[in-house]
Amino acid sequence: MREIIRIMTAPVPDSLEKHCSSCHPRYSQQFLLVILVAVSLIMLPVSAADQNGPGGYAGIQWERMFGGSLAGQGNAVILTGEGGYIATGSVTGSDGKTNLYVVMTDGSGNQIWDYHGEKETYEGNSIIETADNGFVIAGSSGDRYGDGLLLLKLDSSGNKVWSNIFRIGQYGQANSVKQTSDGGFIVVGSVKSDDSSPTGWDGYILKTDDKGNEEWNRNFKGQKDDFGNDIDQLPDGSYIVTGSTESFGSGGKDLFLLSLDSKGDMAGFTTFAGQGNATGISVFQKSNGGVALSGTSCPSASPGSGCEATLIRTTALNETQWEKSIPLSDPGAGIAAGESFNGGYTVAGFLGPNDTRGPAGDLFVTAIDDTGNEVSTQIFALGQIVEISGIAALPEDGVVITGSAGETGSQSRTKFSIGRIWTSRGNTAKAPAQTTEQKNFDLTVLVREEHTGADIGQALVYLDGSAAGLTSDTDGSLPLSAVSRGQHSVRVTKDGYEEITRKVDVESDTSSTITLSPSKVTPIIVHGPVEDKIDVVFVPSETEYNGDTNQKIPVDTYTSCRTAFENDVNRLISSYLSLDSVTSRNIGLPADFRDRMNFYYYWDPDNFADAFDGCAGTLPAHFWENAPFTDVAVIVYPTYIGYYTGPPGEPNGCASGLGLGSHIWFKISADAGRLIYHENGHAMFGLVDTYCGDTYYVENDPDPNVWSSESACIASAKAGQWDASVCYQIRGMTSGSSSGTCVKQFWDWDPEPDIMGNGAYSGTFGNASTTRITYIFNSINGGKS
Amino acid sequence: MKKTALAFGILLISLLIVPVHGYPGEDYTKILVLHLNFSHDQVTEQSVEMQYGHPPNLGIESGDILGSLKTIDGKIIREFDLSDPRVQLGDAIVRNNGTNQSITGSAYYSDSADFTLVLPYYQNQMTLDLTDKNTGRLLKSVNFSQAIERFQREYPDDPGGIPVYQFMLEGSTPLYLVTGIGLSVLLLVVILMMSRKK
Repeated sequence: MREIIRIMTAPVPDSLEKHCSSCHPRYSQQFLLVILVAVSLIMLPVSAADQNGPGGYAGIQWERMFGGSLAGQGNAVILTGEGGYIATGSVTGSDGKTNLYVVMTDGSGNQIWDYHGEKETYEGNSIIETADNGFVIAGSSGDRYGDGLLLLKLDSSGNKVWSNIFRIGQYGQANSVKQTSDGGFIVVGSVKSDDSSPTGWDGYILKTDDKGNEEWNRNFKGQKDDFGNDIDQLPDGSYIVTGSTESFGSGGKDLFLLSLDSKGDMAGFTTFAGQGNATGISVFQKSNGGVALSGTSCPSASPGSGCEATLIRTTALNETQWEKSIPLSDPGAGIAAGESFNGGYTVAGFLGPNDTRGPAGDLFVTAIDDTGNEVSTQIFALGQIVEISGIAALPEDGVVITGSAGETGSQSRTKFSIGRIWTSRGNTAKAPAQTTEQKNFDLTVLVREEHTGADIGQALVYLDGSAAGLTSDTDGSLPLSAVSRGQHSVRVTKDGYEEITRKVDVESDTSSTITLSPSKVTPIIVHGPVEDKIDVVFVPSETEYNGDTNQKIPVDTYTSCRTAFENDVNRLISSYLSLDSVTSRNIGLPADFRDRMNFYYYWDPDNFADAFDGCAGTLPAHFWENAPFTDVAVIVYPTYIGYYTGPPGEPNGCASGLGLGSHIWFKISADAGRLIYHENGHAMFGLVDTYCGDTYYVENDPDPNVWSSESACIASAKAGQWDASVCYQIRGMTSGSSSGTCVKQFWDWDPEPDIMGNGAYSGTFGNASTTRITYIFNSINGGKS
Repeated sequence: MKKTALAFGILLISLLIVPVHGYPGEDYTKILVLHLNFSHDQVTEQSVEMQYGHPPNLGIESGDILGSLKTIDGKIIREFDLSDPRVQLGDAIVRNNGTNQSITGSAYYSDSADFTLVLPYYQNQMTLDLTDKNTGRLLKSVNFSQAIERFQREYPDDPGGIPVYQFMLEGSTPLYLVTGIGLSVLLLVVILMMSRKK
């Protein structure tokens, strides 16, 4: 549009102006046609430009979520010998149980295979590739570490080879595993004998053979908590260990470097106090001799401002050569240091508030040479990844991270994720100062499918709220040029997927991968825009009820079988479509009443409705954010067993209010027969009960089916040319009955069996109810339906 | 000359039409999602967020609470009724005399109820007043300014910050109607002038 305006207001060249002023027909028409063609060409959608290659810029190359619909968390990730990545962590099922999870990808983050722990409630904390191209995972019990340490071997295709559980004391956690020169494994972690242990947590080192059978173990303990976090084997067969100790050193929490000989006997021990609360996270031998340690250091026990990532270089004799500290926001959220290009190091972590390097929460990747001098620092916004638990520095350029990523805007669920970040290579890395002169950059938005990682074309991308273009069918990308430096919002929409908005920091030419989840709202019958129709959304319940025993029963009828729910919904929809069979033919419904309703169902595999949490039940979390257009939500549960026998039993059906609109829903069993007409009569049409009971009466307006006076009822009957003598006071068991002690100061006209009365399971809607139903159909969108 | 006028007309119409269509599926409709609690005759605000989306129909629900959407200067944009979220209508099938069925039920009253309102976003919309229709007592006035500011910060280039959801203030003429008539008249005048010159 800006281009169009520019052309319209551009000065007209003299030569053309002469032609125009003379109004020569031939030239005038040609000029106008030229303009028309030019304008038309400008109006054509801009085709996607070629995408930059991933190595052409620094930025997030890709982010991927794994684990299907399960919530999850990645804890450790490594580069494989094949150039792909493998990560471990956990996923959590709808039953709340945590299972170990491993996923292997190719170099582009496309899943090759994944492994779900079977019955083990463990999470993977460390993973290595073995000499036979398999993988070994060290993990801990997800249940307060109460089920011991897990060592698991997978083959190169993700098949389980063996697993061993080591129960030492009451609690145990394995934090790191490495393969030893004899083909066995060395594991480091922590154990605690019981809750009353006077020495708290103790460091623990376990040596196994190549089948995971224990050969020896060692404890590292003092009078307080001591934790082992990482271990490596040196060429002479000895070991180096790092972690944290409160039992030794300065008296606070110190980072330590422990040396063991090949038999596991202590050969040396050094502590680094840091700022008083220091933890060693990784340790590795340098190829040119000596050791490098990385960790964190904070001024107080509670991580907060002032924390630092620490890199320590020692000689082969464990003498400190240099220490390097880099400000760090969240020491618990991941820091990594690995040997990098030219014998240097890569350190990565989060930026804190008021950090001059960039916005808080962004990832920094700092390159350091082998003398401790900073080579470059690059800053990256993390797209959908909201928490990092594992980072691996890659030998050439960049880091791979794992953690959890948030789903669509309103969602609280986080999923197992991996991200690959490119940094500029080696000593030629772009330092922030080199880019400050440039104000605009290229931003490539890559849109992927959540589960498969497949490219999504024709997704509409909005930059800062304005439509920017459609992604390419070829690779799901949309290149955007001249994007100003700073933070931008990228909103992506596409039919069939949940809309999503992500913040993207643009500090250089970069790319941002946005993953789309399937929409939680599935259209079944849609006759028009939501504003013009009554939108009915069916929601599955994970509970039903036994009226004989007054018990709510968890059921998996729907949660385990989406098709079963779809079948029941289709049956319920047929009730809506045959509404004219139960309404008064004297009044009649609009001929196109079926076309005035849209039907959908809602499916969130992690959140189901509970039909028996309160009278009308409760809808899934975030339902209104995900399906805000809903006029009437219908919570469907499979069946009501037995009969209602009075309080404290729960009713078969219940409506949250009278008349469609915001916050209106009702519950119904799939086998409730015509009771759905009664409940829908409340919720969709605002009809009031006409049976006598301890329920809610009001004269609904306009076109009531219940009146607060006999005279008002008679007046309405006369106006409708109905028999005015049929107005009865609501009393007894049924309207029109003169017996019984129940009497209400309300009157109704519709004869029994009335669906809103005692004919709820077998009756029809009378003239009054049908008149109101027709009024509602004619009132949608101000009567424009 | 007629061809000239026709071409000019097509050009003008093209320019007017194109911005309306844009990309397929382009949508800037916005809503306000209010999470509220009604407890002991007091409505409290739990969260107010503005997001893209389409609202449900308003103005059809029955109830004892009056909702009034107002502009920043207090003018009423529209009013609608809401049912009391603390009251729900339960219905149960009971068995009488062995096999006969009948319906019974009761209204379920809660001291406290959380409820969610999804409202359309209109130009200059700033507050929602919730009033007890029976007593005239103001239950709650919800101010949207912070939610709108957050939204505008996140989407600074949203077209004009205007309500894409077309609506007119009570008693006023719809903006799109005025614009459409004005442009049509302008086009007609241009065509007539060019025809006369011939």
